[in-house]
Amino acid sequence: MATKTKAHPTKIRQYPRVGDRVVLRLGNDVEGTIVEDRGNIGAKGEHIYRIAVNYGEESMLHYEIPTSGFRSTNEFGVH
Amino acid sequence: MSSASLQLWNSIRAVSLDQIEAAHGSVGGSGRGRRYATQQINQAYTVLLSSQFQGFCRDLHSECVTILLQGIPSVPLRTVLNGMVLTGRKLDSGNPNPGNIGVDFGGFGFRFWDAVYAISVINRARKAHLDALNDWRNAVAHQDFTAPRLGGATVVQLVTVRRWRAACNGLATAFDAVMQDRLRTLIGTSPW
Repeated sequence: MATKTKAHPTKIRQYPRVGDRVVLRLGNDVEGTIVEDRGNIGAKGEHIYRIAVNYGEESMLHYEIPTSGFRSTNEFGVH
Repeated sequence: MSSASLQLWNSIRAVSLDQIEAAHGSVGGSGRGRRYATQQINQAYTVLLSSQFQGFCRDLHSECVTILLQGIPSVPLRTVLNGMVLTGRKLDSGNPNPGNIGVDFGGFGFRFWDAVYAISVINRARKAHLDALNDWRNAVAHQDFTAPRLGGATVVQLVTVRRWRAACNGLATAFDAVMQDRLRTLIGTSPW
């Protein structure tokens, strides 16, 4: 007898991950990529992410900010 | 209370260094083959110690920047300043040598190494050990042992790496205390 496989519901990740595309809150929308998870080294143990932003002409800038400083482009993807 | 960076140094980073030291002890025998194998481990230990100390310094710098900027209510302004402060940070690409450390932490508006010396006179000797560690780190990474500062030595002993590690331990604690004091001066409260 054939058995039905139960589909696992897709979970939306609540946390960012290296490689995620994000938008920095800089007054205007600036897209960047999380390049490093720096761990809980922020103020009061906040989780910090290193985000690379390409401003063109080989001008790559890095920011190390908590999640309050950026938002995801797509709910940080799924897993 | 200590910074999150120092807690990481004393836990996860210490475990990583302990593991390579354990590898040294697990190499069996007493002949020439063992001496060659342990020398490779000592060299790896040297590079790992330097990289872990670089990681600690970078963590502490990031932690201090984040705490300092936390007082700015505007998220966009805070983020812009964060990017400006991190631009050109020596510890992101360079060795954790005293020069790079002094430049990056000096950005908080004081003579960093003078403050480290003020905590304990031993820190001058520790800084000299850090210099030696970085000289050896470069020698191992480039497999070039001709630098005059190595004094003609071509092998690094376990006891020497242990001495460097003890110096890094002392400096990590001193850096934590110096930056706690400096941030207290700047923001008016203890950061950790």
